Amino acid sequence: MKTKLKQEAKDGWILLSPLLLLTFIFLLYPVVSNFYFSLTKWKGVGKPVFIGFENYKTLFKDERFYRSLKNLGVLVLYIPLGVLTPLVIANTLRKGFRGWKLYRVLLYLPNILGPVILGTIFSVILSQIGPVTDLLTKLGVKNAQEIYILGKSASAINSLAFIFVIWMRVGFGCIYFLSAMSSIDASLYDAAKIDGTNAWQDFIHITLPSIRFSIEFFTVLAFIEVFARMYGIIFTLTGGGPGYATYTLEYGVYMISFSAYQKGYASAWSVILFFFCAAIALIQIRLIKKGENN
Amino acid sequence: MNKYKVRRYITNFITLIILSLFSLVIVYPVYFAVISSIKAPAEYVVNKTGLPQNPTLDNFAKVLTQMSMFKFMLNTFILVGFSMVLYFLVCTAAGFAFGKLRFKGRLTAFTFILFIQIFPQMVIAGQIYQLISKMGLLNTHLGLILVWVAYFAPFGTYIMTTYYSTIPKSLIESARIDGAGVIQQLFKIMIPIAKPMIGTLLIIGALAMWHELPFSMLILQRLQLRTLTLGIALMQGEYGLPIPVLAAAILVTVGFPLLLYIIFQNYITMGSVAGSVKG
Amino acid sequence: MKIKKGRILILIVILLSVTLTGQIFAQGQKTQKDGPITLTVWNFKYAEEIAGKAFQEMDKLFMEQNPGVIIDHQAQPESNYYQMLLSAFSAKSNLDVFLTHTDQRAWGISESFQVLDADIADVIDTYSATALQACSETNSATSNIKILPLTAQGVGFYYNKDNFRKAGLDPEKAPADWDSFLAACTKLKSAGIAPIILGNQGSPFGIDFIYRVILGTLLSENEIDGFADGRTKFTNPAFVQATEMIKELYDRGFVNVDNGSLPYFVDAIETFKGGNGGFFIGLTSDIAHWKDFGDALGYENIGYFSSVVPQNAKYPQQQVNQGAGVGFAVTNYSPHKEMAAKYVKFMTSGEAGKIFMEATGAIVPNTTIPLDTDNVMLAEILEKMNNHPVPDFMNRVPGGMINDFYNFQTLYFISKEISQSRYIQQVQAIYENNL
Repeated sequence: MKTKLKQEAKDGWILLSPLLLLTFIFLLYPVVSNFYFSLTKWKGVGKPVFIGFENYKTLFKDERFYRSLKNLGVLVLYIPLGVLTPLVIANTLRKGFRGWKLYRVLLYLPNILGPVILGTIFSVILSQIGPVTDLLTKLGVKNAQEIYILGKSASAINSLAFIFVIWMRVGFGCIYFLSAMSSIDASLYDAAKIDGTNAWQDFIHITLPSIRFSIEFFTVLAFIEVFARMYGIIFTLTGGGPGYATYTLEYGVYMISFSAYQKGYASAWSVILFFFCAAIALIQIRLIKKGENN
Repeated sequence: MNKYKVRRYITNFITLIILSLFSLVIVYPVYFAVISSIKAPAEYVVNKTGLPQNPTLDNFAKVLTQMSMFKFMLNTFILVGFSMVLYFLVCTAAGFAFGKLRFKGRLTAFTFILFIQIFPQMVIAGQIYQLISKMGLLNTHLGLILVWVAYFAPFGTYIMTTYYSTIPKSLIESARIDGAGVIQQLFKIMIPIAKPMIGTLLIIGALAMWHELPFSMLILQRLQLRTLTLGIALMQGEYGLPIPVLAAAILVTVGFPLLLYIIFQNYITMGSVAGSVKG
Repeated sequence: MKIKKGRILILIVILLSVTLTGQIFAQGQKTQKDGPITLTVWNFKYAEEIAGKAFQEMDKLFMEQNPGVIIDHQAQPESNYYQMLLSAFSAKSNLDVFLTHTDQRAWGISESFQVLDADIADVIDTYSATALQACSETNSATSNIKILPLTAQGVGFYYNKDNFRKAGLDPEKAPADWDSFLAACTKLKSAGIAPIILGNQGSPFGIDFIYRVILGTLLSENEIDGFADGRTKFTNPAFVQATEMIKELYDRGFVNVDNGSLPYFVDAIETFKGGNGGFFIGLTSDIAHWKDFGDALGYENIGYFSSVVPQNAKYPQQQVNQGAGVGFAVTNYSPHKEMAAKYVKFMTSGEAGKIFMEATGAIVPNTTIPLDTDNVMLAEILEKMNNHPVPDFMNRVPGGMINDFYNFQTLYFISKEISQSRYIQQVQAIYENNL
């Protein structure tokens, strides 16, 4: 028994070595040094000056920080829908569906285009002289050109949330959930059919519990994406505006590092960002642990 | 029986409507890019949303000739190609370890991998540049390949971990009893079993690398080495590009991944794949 | 055992092949040898169609005149240009010469720029004084020159004479003051012509251009310089007044409806070039300028004036002159400082400068370049820029505030979601965040 465990441990580390090697060499120093820089005043070039927690004091007084949290709150509220939508679509596609091959190509299209391209295209589509206002004008709405979806705070943040958190999650989400669903034992469904359950009951009682880990993990990924992967779309869609309506922690990190040459201060922002994501990730790890102890 | 069928039809119908709406929203941006790319910039200014009155291919000609687009395409293929081989091996191996094996420190390692890639690329790009510079890998394709795999492999590892955790352990056990070493288990069992996921993993990894900008920009500073994505960024110059030219550039850049996706989509698990792995 | 080794071997082979192939495509840092000197030049305009060709010609000329020197000119993306420079400086990587703006984006990292005073001592009189000032770390025309100016840039108003006629306005009379400007806008609007074409998406904003010229008439050079270090605040009455003036334009419907969705570069410019609109606030060199509009609409159809002039303007004649738009600089760790300095002198004067000017229409502020003063409009503009220059306040403000500043301009003028006092307060806060 012991040798089996020992063997498994040896195997495990051998398999992990390439990944660990790469991340240790290339990612460890950059990530850790960032924590150090948050305690300094530094331009990004030259010598950093150690100033202790000054940056954090400034951060907690910075209006941008609080606006970012508010905006992130809105974005996070969309996450449940962002997880549910691909789940439901995947469930439908799972059973086979006429023309599903076509949808398969289309659903992943946003991911193929990428956030920068999508942000650029949407900034044109949602603009005052884009197809949306064109359509409204044709429908008889007067002064449709004055409607500026991306220029009003409320519609800007909600458009951003809809595009990034729901719409852009569907492609990868469907692939991810379908692959998870594909390994559910078919006999479970057969048994249920004998009992006379309908599709909805199957979904709630068989499908969802079976892919619990995938759903939880996908949610964690969605969080990380919202907190730390939105720069491309924010930059091309709204530039953080109007005002601070679409400003997030991550966007602040970029702007403060590279436009303001305040890398030390920006690092403090990125550390706060890190803690948010780490907290979410730790919850997931806890769930894994619990799941395995059962 | 009848009630079942009717219900099924209704559900299908509603699903069809929802999917169609979704598809419309998905296709429109591409349609918009296409019609814009064949308008002359002067026409676009007055006709932003309608069909082009005087279609022209000038924008594409400009994109293809102004920059060494073909060189960029070649570089991108080389970079993504080699990276994907390494990426695939690293992710399947690590996914195997995390997903199927149990050993002390496993969760710690998993947490580490999860944490190490939280920071967005730009935050660590500066320090990565320093590292690459000190290693003498600046302006080399190898340098970028290693950085790409290091940064994107954690994500691919999660995918494989998820997948492998649903596979019965008995497969590995029996191979172990037969005396197979772990590397053999990897190549003879885990990789073949991952066939449904190969396409998924490759698409996700390849796309991430195709679109990647911060690292490529800092590590590849010379024209001959650059990627397609960088080429588009370069074209913008000081004053940006008119939308029609930008649209043409976008279509050129994503044209290839799109084509590849359409051709290889069968290898991606999406749709009615008969699920259970017979144990 | 054997089979296991075999698998490991395959892995090693794969990794080796990656390494080898990588080395084949590698172009590492060039080692110093005796023989040809290679100057590595970074340039965010090198990939542009017109500018790029001009630079190639200029390089060719230099290499002909300086055998033994190779110019390795690399295009870099403008979007992250300063981040790239920053990284290069901190790792002291292979870079000798680079193009740069002359605003706070450059001065934030100028410790790594080489001082060129000694190198240009013999030709310093050929460079325009305002240009040198903009290129000096201490804003002096004679010392701490760290950039050599390639373009001189200014901001001013253009108007479409044809549309003036259509609106019943005298096409030869540019509005002398604020009231006549408003009157002209009223007439244009009644004639169904958008009085002012602004582009306020992305960066820069037409709105901030208007700020630049109005502030030029209200503040002294010293006060405008005060925007660099906090001496001049945004609560300053001049800024408040300018804000009210711009607001009036919006309130009275004088601005094109779609301004919020129109990027300045190049959509708004193209709109005006297409014959739309009465007024357009443009530049004096390189793009959106006399040549651009003259070529598109005909020189007889374009008029120019340096600013709208409020009634209480202290400096009604002032022409916003950035001094220099972009220029070339040398890294202070370059192993070829002398040759690099020679190169940047070459590129910003004489034959090379002429090539650049003729190709792009940019004004190269060096007396060794003959200017085509047959062109009446150019002569007029040059006269204003040389005799009544006032600095551009946007070149002085901390670079980090610009993005947020634009976002709040949108919030106040276009979305109308905050009050004027809140707007001013916010802009001042943004300013203080970035000082």
